[in-house]
Amino acid sequence: MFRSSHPFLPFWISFLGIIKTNRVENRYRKWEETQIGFLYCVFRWKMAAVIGNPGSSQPILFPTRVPPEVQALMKAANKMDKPLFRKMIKLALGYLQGTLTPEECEASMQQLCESISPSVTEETVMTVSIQHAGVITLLRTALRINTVTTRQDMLIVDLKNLGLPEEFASDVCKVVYGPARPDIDSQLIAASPSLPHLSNLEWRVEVTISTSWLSRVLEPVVMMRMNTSDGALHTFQVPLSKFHQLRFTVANLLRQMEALKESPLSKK
Amino acid sequence: MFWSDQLIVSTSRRAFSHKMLQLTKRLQEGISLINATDINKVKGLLGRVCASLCAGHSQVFSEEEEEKLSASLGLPVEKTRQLIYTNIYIMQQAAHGMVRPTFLGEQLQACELTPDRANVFVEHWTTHAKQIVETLRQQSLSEKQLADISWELHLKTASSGCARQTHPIAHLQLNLSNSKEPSSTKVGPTESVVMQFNQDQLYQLYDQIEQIQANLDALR
Repeated sequence: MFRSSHPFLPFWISFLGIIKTNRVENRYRKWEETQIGFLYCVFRWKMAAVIGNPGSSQPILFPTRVPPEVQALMKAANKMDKPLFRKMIKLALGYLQGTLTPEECEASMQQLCESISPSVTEETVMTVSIQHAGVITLLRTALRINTVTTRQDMLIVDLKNLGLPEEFASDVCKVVYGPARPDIDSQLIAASPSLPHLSNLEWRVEVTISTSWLSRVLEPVVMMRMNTSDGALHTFQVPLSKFHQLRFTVANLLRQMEALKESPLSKK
Repeated sequence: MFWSDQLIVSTSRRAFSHKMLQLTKRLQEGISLINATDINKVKGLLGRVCASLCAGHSQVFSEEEEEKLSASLGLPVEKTRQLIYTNIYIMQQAAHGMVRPTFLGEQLQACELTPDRANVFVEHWTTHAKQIVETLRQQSLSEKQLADISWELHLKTASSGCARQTHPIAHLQLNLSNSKEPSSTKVGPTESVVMQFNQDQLYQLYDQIEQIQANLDALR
């Protein structure tokens, strides 16, 4: 009865109301269905380009343009041997996860340069650095894609289209889809920008017996010393009412976190 | 009841001839000033003094108010200040000993305050004693105190490292007040500490807080 809100139906259909007979309804329903069918086809055609069905032209990893360092990597990859590529992947992973210190990074880079050619010239260092940057960008983008919607063979196809040899592509896929993925994920989450967190909490419960204002107080008070991860130290007193408020806040937050984990928002 | 647990204390103290007010020359001058002032004005003044003690301020009147007051009392500003100070002193001493109202009345009369004015003091003490003592209990010498807590609960959905994730994060902000003078009307600058917690860290904090609470319960 209210179907005139559909853009393709004539407006006067709403005046038909109860008078509408089955025959009229059927005719307009078929018209509606063809309209919807047409729109659906247009939708699927446009989405196919984005989702990346096999046979579509849209690449998964770098849809807009391939960065120059990745292009350089692809050119060099054909002449590279497998252990070298593996080492580069390991180094890039360590860098992304934040597990390698800058000194270790430098030492590994030095090793890489030496393994290519015994005499380390500026040119070799330059090429190795560009390739290293290429591996990092490649891995970073590869780790960002959704492993649920994108299948492994599609990623391999995409990597081959970019110019990476077969074995190297499977190596990259092992990193992305492999068993170490949850560890990598937790490291990446920890390395993302965040506020300082509490590294250490020390406390003391005191009872004030007497003060200059009041001869009998007998009031317990809590002293806290907090060390935060950015190196700041805060020492302060917590009166009893505020302590109860803090306790309630923390318990409330925990309960809400649990509820959030159960809610459908958390289920991708 | 407020007075019951103090009863034994004050009787034992009375046995040792506890004097609430030390009769100094200054106090005697102040008492004679109170005796000279009109009783209604004494009532009003004492009411104002009690109100500011309940709130925790030691400065009862501002400068202009003091001038107006001395004009209405017909006294020089210095004498008005002494009058105000005597009132504050009497109430503070009463709070320090947490005395019973009748005891206060006796002490005041022993200091040569007229009976009706002493009654005014006793009345005000009976009404405001609890509040004044509560305020004084909360005062402390330490510099930083936790004044307020605010929180936020976030759900991290994406970052540069991970395109899709669901990771709950709690932000906790602790406002610490820097109180230089505990009894002044001005509060020092507030420092605010913001921290974030994921679920494990929040559980650790909760455990520690529960430990503190267990210790507090053991005190009772």
